[in-house]
Amino acid sequence: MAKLDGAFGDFQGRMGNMVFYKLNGKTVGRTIGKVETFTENQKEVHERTSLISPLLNPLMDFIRIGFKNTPKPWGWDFYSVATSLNKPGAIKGKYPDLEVDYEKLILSKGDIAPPKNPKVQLNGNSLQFSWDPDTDANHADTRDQVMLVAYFPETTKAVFLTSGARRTEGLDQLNLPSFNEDTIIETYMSFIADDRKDVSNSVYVGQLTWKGNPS
Amino acid sequence: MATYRKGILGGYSGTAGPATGTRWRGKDVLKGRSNKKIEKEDLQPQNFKLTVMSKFLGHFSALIRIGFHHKNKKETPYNRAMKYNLEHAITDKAPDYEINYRKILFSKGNREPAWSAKAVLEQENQITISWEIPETAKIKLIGNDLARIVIYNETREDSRFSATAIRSDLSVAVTIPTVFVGNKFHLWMFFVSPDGKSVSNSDYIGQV
Repeated sequence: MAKLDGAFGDFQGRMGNMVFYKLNGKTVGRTIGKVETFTENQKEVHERTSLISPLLNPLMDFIRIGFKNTPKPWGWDFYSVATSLNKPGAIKGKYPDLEVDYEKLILSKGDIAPPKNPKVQLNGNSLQFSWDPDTDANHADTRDQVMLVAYFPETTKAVFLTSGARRTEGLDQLNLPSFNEDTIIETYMSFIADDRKDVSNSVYVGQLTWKGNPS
Repeated sequence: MATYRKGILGGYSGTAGPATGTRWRGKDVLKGRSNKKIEKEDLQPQNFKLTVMSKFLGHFSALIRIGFHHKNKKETPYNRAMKYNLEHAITDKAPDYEINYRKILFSKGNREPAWSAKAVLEQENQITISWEIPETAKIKLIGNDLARIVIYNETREDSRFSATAIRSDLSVAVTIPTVFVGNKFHLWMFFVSPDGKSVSNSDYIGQV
């Protein structure tokens, strides 16, 4: 997709099979009509998008908060940041064998100190998260609240909490609905400042398996 | 199929010589008169897929109008449902295609889905469906969502719907007519917001 820097002036409309229009304040140009062939590189981008986009979809309300105050270029929103971080970052393997790398997935980005020594345990119906209540770290405050995510890759569903316990408490729990089948749970954790103006980077806590009782 | 803006005649409907004019989704459309006969041997594998899927989805067209409703009016909801399900919910090889009931989707949207839905055959003519709401969900916003249950009778190839419960009821009982007792049923469910504008993805509950 081409971006116009004013060499042709500021115009929009169609010229042959090129179309020019305004997108987020910039004039852009692209081919219009049915495209029948894609290059290998384009196919790789399609593949990466088809892995990341269904993943972020159930977490939309979480990343809206997680990337709200992340510095971003003009015209970007939280979703642009999320995809630009995770599309190259959270995928492992080489095209055409791409796979989501859940350990590298980033769900929030900011300046305050991330959880130290995060741990998680599955206790009955709830996930018990714990961390070191360390308030000496950079930008850490006692009133920071924890944000918890449990993501279920098999069903592409997610449960999350955006305002949990304070940093000083050192533990919190996330109650899950029950499952009929064995389910893999990927867990993430980060902090949000009391004034909601900043967040910490999110950290991957671990993978757990729910042992389902087939009924 | 050609579409046209107002020509010298404007839009017309009816057959004139080799062409038929009609109106479809707000557009004036000109179609050729069909006289081709397709022999079964000439059919592409894709056509068999289409037969299997449209035979199944045809039962649910009223429901798909809600579940695949989209503000983009270029495709009909049924087309959109067909496209998704042909890609995801067909198994086996040509020409014996089969439907993967687990993967079938009747609705696609961003609303909170049904969690850990279960179906139990309580009496021989009554199925009880139950679901859960996670504690983190915004219950005040989504508690009044209508729960739509889809029931497909595999033995008789017949469908039934239920839309009596709301999300905060957590369960609903569906009665089966006595003629269908003992048949094999597949169940799905999804939620619709009270204003009908937002839907959740549908979930396969199971078979009884």
